[in-house]
Amino acid sequence: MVQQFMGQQSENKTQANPHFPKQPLPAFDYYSCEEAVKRLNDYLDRELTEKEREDVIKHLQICRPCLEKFSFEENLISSIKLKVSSLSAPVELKLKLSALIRKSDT
Amino acid sequence: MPNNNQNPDPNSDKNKEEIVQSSVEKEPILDDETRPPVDPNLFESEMNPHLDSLYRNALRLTGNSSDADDLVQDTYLRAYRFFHQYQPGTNGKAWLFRIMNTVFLNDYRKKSRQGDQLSYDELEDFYLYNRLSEESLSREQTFNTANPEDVIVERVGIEEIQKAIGNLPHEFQETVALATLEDLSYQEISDILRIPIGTVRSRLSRGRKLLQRALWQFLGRSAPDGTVSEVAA
Repeated sequence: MVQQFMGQQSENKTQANPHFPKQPLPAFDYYSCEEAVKRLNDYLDRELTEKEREDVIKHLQICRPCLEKFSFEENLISSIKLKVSSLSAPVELKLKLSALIRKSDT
Repeated sequence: MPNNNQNPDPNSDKNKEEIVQSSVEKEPILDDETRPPVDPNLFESEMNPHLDSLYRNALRLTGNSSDADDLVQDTYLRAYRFFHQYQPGTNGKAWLFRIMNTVFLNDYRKKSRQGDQLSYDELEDFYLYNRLSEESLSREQTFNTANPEDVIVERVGIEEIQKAIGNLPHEFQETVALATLEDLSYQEISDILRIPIGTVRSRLSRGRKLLQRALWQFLGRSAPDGTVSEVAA
């Protein structure tokens, strides 16, 4: 991303600058719990890109507390989901619907 | 697919989502005599896989099984009427959910239920995890690190979960339920509720934190500061 500020040269870290060697864009800080936790929900809901997901996992591999907390959240959500998904629409309702659309067709 | 070829949509260049969205809110473009006949079997094969999910959502929205029944029926019938605008094989679930949302807002929602005004500022991450580990520390028990969530999972049933979600402020309730229970993507939720994805994210984040607090109360504990119930019915 090129950041353009008023009155300044566009300062993209990847552009040639004699004083600073060419640097990649800021990498995900694997050591930062804060960075990982920021991505918690996206991680749980599988909304991260593959690369982002790998980044978070890298942090979890080196941070036991975060690993435990993330696993907790993951397991909690899948347990809740499992419980709730056992609730299905009543059979009578399904039968009613089936009849309903055929009736309206005649 | 006979339905889609009979009446070429003059707006086919537009985003299909938009067409579906605006159409299901207005009266049918075609009256019953001229709209293309719908094959009930085709309709059912596309829509019925989502019935359980729809029903759960209706239950959550209305709070009781009788209204949920009615809401599902109204949604189903409306979907049937607009089926010619649906592209078989595309995202039927999101399509149905949006119809249900529209029907609910138009016909079912009673006076808007203002949830308690909670302070969202100090919602912590990992609320349940932290409370459980504090608790086991104070009881000098070993924290079951293998599956600490079992404590909650075993004691909180479907009803409590639904109630806890149902007690959330409405805008949080939606995103938490759709993302957590019904596996819809952020984009789908954004389309169904017609809110920006960023809003989906922030509501989901806050909603889940609130949900954890509510679950903690269902377990019969109070908040660390002594307050018991902020998420009232």
